Amino acid sequence: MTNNVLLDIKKLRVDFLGVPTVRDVDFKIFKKETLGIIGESGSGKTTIARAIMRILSEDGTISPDSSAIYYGLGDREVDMFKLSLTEYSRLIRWKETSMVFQSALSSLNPTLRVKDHFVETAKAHGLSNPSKIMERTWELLEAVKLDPDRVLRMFTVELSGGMKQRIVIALSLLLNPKIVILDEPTTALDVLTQRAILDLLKKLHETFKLTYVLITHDIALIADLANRVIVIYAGKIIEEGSVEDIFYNPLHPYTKLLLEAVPKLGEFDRLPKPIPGVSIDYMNLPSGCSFHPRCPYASNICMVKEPSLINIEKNRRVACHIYTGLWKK
Amino acid sequence: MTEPLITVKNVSKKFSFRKGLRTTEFYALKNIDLEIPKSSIIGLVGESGSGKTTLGKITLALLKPTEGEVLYEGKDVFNLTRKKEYRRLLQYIPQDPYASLNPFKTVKQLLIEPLLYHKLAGDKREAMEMVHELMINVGLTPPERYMNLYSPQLSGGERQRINIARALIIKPTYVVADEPTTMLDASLKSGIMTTLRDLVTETNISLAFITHEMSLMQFFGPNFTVAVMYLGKIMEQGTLKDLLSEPLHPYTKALIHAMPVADPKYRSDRGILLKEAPPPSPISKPPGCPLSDRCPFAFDLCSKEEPILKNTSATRKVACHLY
Repeated sequence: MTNNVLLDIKKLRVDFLGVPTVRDVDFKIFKKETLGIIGESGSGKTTIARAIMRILSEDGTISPDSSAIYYGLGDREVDMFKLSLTEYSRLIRWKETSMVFQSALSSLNPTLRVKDHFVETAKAHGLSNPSKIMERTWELLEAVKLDPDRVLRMFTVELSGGMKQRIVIALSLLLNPKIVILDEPTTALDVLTQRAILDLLKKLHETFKLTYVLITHDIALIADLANRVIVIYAGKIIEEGSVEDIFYNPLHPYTKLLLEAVPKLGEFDRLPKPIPGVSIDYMNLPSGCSFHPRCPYASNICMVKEPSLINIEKNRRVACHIYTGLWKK
Repeated sequence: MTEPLITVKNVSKKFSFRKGLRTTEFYALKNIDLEIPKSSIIGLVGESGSGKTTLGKITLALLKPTEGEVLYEGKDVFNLTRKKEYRRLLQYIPQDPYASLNPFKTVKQLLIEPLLYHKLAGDKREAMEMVHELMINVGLTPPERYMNLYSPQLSGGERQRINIARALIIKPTYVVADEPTTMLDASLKSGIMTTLRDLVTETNISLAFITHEMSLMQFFGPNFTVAVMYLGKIMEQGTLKDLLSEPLHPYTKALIHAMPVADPKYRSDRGILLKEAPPPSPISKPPGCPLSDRCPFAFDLCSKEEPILKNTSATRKVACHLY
């Protein structure tokens, strides 16, 4: 089984100015899977991604106990968190892991032509043979269904939202990475454009044998793309399972409430219910389980003791006292 | 039949922009007819560029249509004698909660000012009581906790609740909500939608709900009217339930087919039911039916003559030559 693991993250803890926002997160990323990470805004999902990419802002620090063992470099195992930043960008960034950022529509430079975006990215990562760069660019633009002849000369402001998103996806694949982190890849896009991008992502997944980490708060997107799901709340993993497990047999009360809060297209018998309570405040995290003030099943133990993430079966984990045996009604 | 609250009669809106010496004109809306009955909800669905926001603003008399007229209880809204009263009766809930509240005012000020301006409260104490009550209704409890905060101290969901409260506090008869939840999280969305639904149904307000997410409208139940718009035209109109279970227009079909469903069972390579074409833009519409270049069922007539919106049943209208 271990030879299928591509990235093994252990005890990831990220503090922002001393306030822990990602706490003891450990999970594995398997080869060629699509791992969905779902959580509300402020739950720490983007922080996990930025930690993996080593692009946290200056206020954020990864705790020294954290490790991220990467198995994608042949026989060599590297801990991505122990590499120096120079080594990291020489070995890993964009070559092994890349990222499609949330604000893709504004992450392109309006003063550069599309071509220069590709050339600059390639040069920044040590590729300097112009004909090689153009060959790869051409191949990728065709893969994302853009007309290279026309698009390469354009400025990014001349592109529509869907086209920009395609460019950003093509850029993320420039150095042939194994892991692509997709941070809300389709927010701000229209329904039909969103569908086109989702179909495109599925196709690229096959063609380039990619591993996706999909970060989103949109349950429908997870249902459409992911095959394994991690649910996080207040910087901790609270449930993990296959996409079917999560949708048809959710264990954690938060996961259940989350699924009930979202309308299912064409279904009217069940009105969506909002999750009670207020969202996470990291400065005053509640004692015990961080979800207990909003949880309809909370009992005394939940207020005192934080539940640990326990294995229910293989690749199925949950952090809730209902399953630790300590919970009493 | 009682008189509708808002009647939109054959409205077109032309915008123009200049590029160098050339001025290009285009229609953001073309020959729209729409009736909004008293205490009803109407959904406007469409992609960007479909003119849904323009239509919403025209019904609020914030934009003047190039052709056609907008009537409020039978009176032309652009020729009103009591403009101030009308401004109070029509309200708007904006899309972006981060850009729409004055950051230099406290929640208390934001909510009391409209009350005093429209003289709906005799004195400050009475106004405070009204603010207090509404804040509880929109879910900002306890109100004391929020009263003296400035908007940047609030989260996106809280700000959007303030926006809803601001629109409803002066007792309007018609509210336009323009994608009020796009900037919010899935879990917050459902809270805001529930609040909005409860307040609107309790107070008999008419609501025009503008969105591109059809699933969101399910919060209002199956039986209210939804108009599907594309490039400035209403393509199909019917109850939400009918549209979802049996879409008639090829565009509605494509739209519903493309939506991600929150259930992995429905996952497949869904594809898009329309032909590939450059993204729709109101500046370069094809002749005839605006969908004629992307519609897989298009025939000769479609690129020659524009179909008009016709009734197929009492509650259903569609603009397509197939029907």
